[in-house]
Amino acid sequence: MSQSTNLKDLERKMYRTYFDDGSWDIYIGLLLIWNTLFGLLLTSIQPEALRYGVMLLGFLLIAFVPNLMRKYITAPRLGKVEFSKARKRRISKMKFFVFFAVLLTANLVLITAIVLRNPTLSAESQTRSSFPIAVGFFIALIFAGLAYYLDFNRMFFYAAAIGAAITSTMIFDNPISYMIAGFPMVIIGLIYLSRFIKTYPKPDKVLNHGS
Amino acid sequence: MAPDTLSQNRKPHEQINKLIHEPARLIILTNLYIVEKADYIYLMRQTGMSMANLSAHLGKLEAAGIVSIQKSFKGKKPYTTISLNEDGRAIFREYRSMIEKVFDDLPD
Repeated sequence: MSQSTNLKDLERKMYRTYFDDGSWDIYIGLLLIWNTLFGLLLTSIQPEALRYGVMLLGFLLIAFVPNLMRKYITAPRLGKVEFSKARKRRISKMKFFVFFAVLLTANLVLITAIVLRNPTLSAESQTRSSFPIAVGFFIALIFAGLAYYLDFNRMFFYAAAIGAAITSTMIFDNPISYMIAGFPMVIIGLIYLSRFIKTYPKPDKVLNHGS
Repeated sequence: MAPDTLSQNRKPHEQINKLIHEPARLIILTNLYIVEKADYIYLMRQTGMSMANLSAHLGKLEAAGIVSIQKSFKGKKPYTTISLNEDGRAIFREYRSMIEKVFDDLPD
């Protein structure tokens, strides 16, 4: 029993090494910063379709960051591994979870938008604050679930920060809280990245393929 | 005496697979047991062995039919992945139970 526990611990330790490159931290941080930049600077872009096009383009470009980091920084230093079936099942569960969570969140955000734009409902201060808190809490729960399935402990803190940023953005109608939440994540990610590069120097090219 | 009876009469420590019992190979197999497959760099990182050392041990494990080594190309670069095959997994599990028996036999 203790042996199998040790093997599980070893597997978890090996899996978690892949979060030591800081790519997730940088990715989530950049997404939040982009939200602020978009909210503050790009709202003047006309027509509206172009504005949303720019927003989507930004999100797409940011999505490349962790992939490029893993391809050019992590994989050459740490190697590639296909984890156990149990781990794969956990990741599949996470995908289901994310799918349903996104559907639920979209509904919740829609309901919140409808409520906040309704003059009679939004006039009540309780409604104005309780809906953003509910949305923030719900989104924080989603990220906490993601952290659980990914076995990525730092993301529990990020979940709380993201939830708080969403709530305060909705209450104060100012997207700067995304930047406040995202900037430390990028810094933490960069610290992890520099530590990762120092800990795992790139092996000699000759050794890369093991032939 | 029949060979089966002989094997049953042997003490657990005498039945330990000596090929696996070597520390470096044991580390390699432990790391391969908990994943589906891995490449050379990954095993080097996890075991702390040099490429030459790793290759030598993997060669012995492959010859014993415990690990499978798949060679392919990624673009123009050769790429090698290593996995523990079904026989290898069974041998590793047997090794674990033998080791447990060895220590179970020790007095408190």
